Amino acid sequence: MTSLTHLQRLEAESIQIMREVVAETENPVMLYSVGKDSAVMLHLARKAFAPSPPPFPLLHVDTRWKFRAMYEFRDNMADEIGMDLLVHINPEGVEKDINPFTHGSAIHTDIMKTEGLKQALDKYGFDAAFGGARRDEEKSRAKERIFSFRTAQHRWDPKNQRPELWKLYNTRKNGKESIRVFPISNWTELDIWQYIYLQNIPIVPLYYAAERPVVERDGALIMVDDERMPLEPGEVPMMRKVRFRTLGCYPLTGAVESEADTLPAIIQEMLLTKTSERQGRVIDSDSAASMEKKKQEGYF
Amino acid sequence: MSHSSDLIAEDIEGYLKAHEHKGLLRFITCGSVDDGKSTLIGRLLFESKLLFEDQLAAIEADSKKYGTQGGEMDFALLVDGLAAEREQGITIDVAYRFFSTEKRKFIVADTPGHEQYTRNMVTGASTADAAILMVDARHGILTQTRRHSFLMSLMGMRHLVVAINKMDLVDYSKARFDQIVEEYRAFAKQLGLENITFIPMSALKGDNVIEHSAKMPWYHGTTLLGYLETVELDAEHLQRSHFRMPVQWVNRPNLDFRGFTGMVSSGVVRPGDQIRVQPSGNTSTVSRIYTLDGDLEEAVAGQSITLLLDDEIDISRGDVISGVDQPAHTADQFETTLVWMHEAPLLPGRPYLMKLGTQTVSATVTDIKYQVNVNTLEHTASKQLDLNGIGICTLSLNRAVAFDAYKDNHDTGGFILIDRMTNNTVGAGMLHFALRRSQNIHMQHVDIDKQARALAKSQKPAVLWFTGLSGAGKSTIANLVEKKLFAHGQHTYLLDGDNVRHGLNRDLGFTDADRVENVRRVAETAKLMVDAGLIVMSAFISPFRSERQLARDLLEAGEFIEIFVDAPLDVVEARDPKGLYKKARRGELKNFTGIDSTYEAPEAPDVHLKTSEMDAEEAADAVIAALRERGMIS
Amino acid sequence: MQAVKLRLDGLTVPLVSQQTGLSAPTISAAWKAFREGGWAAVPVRPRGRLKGQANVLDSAIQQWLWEALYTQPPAGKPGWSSADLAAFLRDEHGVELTQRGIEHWWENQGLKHEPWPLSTLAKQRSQRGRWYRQAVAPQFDRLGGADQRWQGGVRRVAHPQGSVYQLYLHGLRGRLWMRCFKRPPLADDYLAVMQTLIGKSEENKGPIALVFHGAWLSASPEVTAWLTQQTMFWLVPVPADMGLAS
Repeated sequence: MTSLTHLQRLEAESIQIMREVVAETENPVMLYSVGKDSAVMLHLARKAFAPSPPPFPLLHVDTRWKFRAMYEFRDNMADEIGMDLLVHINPEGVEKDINPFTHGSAIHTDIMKTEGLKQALDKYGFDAAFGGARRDEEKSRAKERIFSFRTAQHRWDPKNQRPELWKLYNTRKNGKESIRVFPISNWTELDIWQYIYLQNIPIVPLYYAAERPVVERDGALIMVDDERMPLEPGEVPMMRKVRFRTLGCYPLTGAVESEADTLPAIIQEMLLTKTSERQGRVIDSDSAASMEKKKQEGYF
Repeated sequence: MSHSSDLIAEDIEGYLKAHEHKGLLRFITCGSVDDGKSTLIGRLLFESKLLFEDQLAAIEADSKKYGTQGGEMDFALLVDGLAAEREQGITIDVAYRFFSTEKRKFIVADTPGHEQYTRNMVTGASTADAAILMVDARHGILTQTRRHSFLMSLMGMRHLVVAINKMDLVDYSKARFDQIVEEYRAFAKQLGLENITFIPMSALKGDNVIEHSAKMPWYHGTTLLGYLETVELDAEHLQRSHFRMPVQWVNRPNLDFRGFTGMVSSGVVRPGDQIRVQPSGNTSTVSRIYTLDGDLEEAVAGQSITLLLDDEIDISRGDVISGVDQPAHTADQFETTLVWMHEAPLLPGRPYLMKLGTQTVSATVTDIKYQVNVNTLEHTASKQLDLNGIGICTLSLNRAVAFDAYKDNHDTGGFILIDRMTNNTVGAGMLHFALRRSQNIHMQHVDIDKQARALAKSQKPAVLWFTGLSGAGKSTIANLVEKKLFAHGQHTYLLDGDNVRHGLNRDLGFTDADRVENVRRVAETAKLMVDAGLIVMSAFISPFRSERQLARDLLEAGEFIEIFVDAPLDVVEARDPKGLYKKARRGELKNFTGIDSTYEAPEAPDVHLKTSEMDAEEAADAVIAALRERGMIS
Repeated sequence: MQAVKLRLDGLTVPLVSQQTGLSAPTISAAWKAFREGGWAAVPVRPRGRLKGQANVLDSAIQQWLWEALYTQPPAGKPGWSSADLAAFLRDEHGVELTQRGIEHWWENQGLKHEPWPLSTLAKQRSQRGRWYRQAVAPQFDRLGGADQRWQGGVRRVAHPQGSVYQLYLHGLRGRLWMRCFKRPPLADDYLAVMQTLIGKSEENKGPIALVFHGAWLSASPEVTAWLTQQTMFWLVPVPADMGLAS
């Protein structure tokens, strides 16, 4: 009798999901956000299709406001694996110079992320897109299906989702519908970290504590990642030992003070911390109940 | 239980080491909020310390405000988030929650107890290793308990805990506990449920949930968590079974590598093992089990793997690889249990897509033997299955598939049905056994085939399928077309209501189910005539897309020509040649298409005749022109 | 309570200890109590050790000390030294407290800061050593006396009263000066400190070097503009993650 560990079981489930998508859809893509969940998802994809490289491209919907360390990491990663990396930036957003400072996080996220994603999916005609969302992230995700159908306009119709039984996923689409597939739905944040640790998966260094220049905005520690971050008159960024529990646009992502500069220390900190992971995301605090709405509008 | 905080703080590496070897158990909780289900889940989450401080603080505040526990922590508030969503009309079949202890990670399928319970529970149970059935010690076995137990037996749940909850409210009485156990056992016997564990509990007070209760010294069994941490996992049970792996995807990076990927659904496989591929029956030997991190010496149920074989045999997605001596069975007719999951009812005779493992085939329910009432377990005769209906049905496929009985293997015996038009998942089912017929009746092989007969008649056989509202002019146009073809020297036959309704189909009425069957018989008849080399015209309302699709699927590509005789309802109602619309409007005719039964217009007909813009002669000429264009006639 | 909150924020026991001044066993006990019994079970004891030591200052005195730290130091001083604070208490409030007593209080409040042993880096074959030889030594070597070599920085100190931002400086023999703020210091705050150091340099007729940690001063246009005008003041920023204290 061989006992599979929980991580082996989760890994097998994710791989099975990815293979179903590749076998049954025409033009899949993996949304790559450069974060730790993406890192795990990409690692699983490599395992699922080895020795072939994963038979789909990576898509990064860029907002131009990610951390510099993320861009660096992303480009190195794509080179190393030999997968196509598609980067899409909403050209209308660029034209209007949409940014989190003058337009606020809601508009910035909507135009650069939500609209950008829809544009990219339409542009390349992708009919299935892997995303790294997990059910434990917040309450509205607990009931999310693994295969989530979107209309041609990328709207999520919560009243029309298909039941998922056994390991059977109905991947049949109507017309221009597309599917968002969440292969790591059943992983928790702890599972993700533990897997990264055991499998030695490279992650963006921002997850590790280091001294970084930060300023305070509404109680959140915002890193001054480049000269575009406007400083208040007389303001001097402090160098504080911080890390990020989640990564996004740097002006919208709060850091936490931390001494955790190794994976075990990060896991330790995570286990002893009791504030939820998404707390660092400025996007969520805009309006608490807005996640559902965002999703209906096509936010991943 | 839980994450020992001291170990985390003092030796995180040691902690991680210990937690690498945790297993994974999925379970479902059955019962309603009143039984303390939410309280139980809330307590398990709380005790495993997977709650965040912000959540905890909110619950503490809410407990004082809304709690039913007099200001004490009300765990139910943790998981009752679903109510609000239900109000918004969002379908929630199952919400999944997670917690873990030092021994296992747990995935809890939490289903809302009331509406849609059958669909939700069946969905949640399909992936669960164990089920917790909540019983209120004060009320004992209720109808709901029986219903849930039946569904669990239906889904082949191998481990069932009957949690007799709220023992604190019956003074922790052993007598009461024994009474409920006895009553339940008698009932479970009927259902054939085995492996039942009874635990007297108070989720609210924590008795026998995590720790043994001092209040019930008479109980010597396990606590609920102790049970969950030790109960056998399905994946491990399945390791003792025969090897099965449905092939998901063939990995072919280059000519030297041909890997068959899939998840092992049962048994164990090692390099050197002889395997058999179903349904083809070909055999080979496993040469390697490939992974990115190096080859494996064995793979077991629950692992996603890539198999390499010694021989270059033809294997593709949908095939099932088995151990050579005990392979999966193959058949195309089955006795099944079907659970219907959609508002549109199951209609026998209508073709659906069936996904079984990695195989997708066309499937038709040929007979509903009986329907089961989930509350009374009574059997009733039924012509259709409605949402949440459960029926014992005969299923017929368009080709043979590899399978096992559901009781032996849920992956190769459990299937879903997909509506061909909407693509919704409309049903789930369990294969019980193959029906003999399919193994014995082989298609008569005849030397004189369709091609030979068609050649003799110097024509390409086809079906001209006229569809449209009553009074649109189907029969009139079809008649004219037949005359023109006959004049041209073609061999033809016209099937319409006049020659079919009175003979072949005289047992059928006008309900949806009968209409489906009517069209099925016409389609089968047309198929035989095409086989005989004829050009067949059929003139029936045939209101449903899926039946027309069925007819199309029966024939070879290009043999089915859908002709939409299109006249607006107000026009045909004004014509009303047989006075039927007037009758229908007066309510004397039931299920009349266009009035109280829908007509699903073709989305892309091969020929589209707008009879409000042309007369019958012109319409018939348009059909002849279309046939010429297709090279059907010269 | 504070200790438990910090633990919930993910800080390790040693960190919490550093920030609250509580001992490790006390923190562990409070943490355990919380996990077993929630907030109600966390013992709320007066700060400081239980043995009746004299270093538990009267709350009024503590209040005065805080007020002083939040205001400008005496003219010509880069910050408050323990001597300055002792003089302040004596002159303004008629309270006698030794410098030692004030330093003890600093320690309890988490305000104490140890100077970095920079000179020991000269021969180290580490990243720190290389930095010292390349960035610090050339400046230090051009200076005459040890009193021209300054080090300092800015940091946040977690405190029951809320966040305290502390500017600290070490002069000759590691003597500690400090100022506190309720928000991160602004360019003018830094400039005020540096200006005082220049004042000292004029007394000494020699330039001043300041090795500084914890602020990204070159991001501030005001500070940068000021620095370019100075000929007698050299700023040596400590690069990120140099780990001088360890």
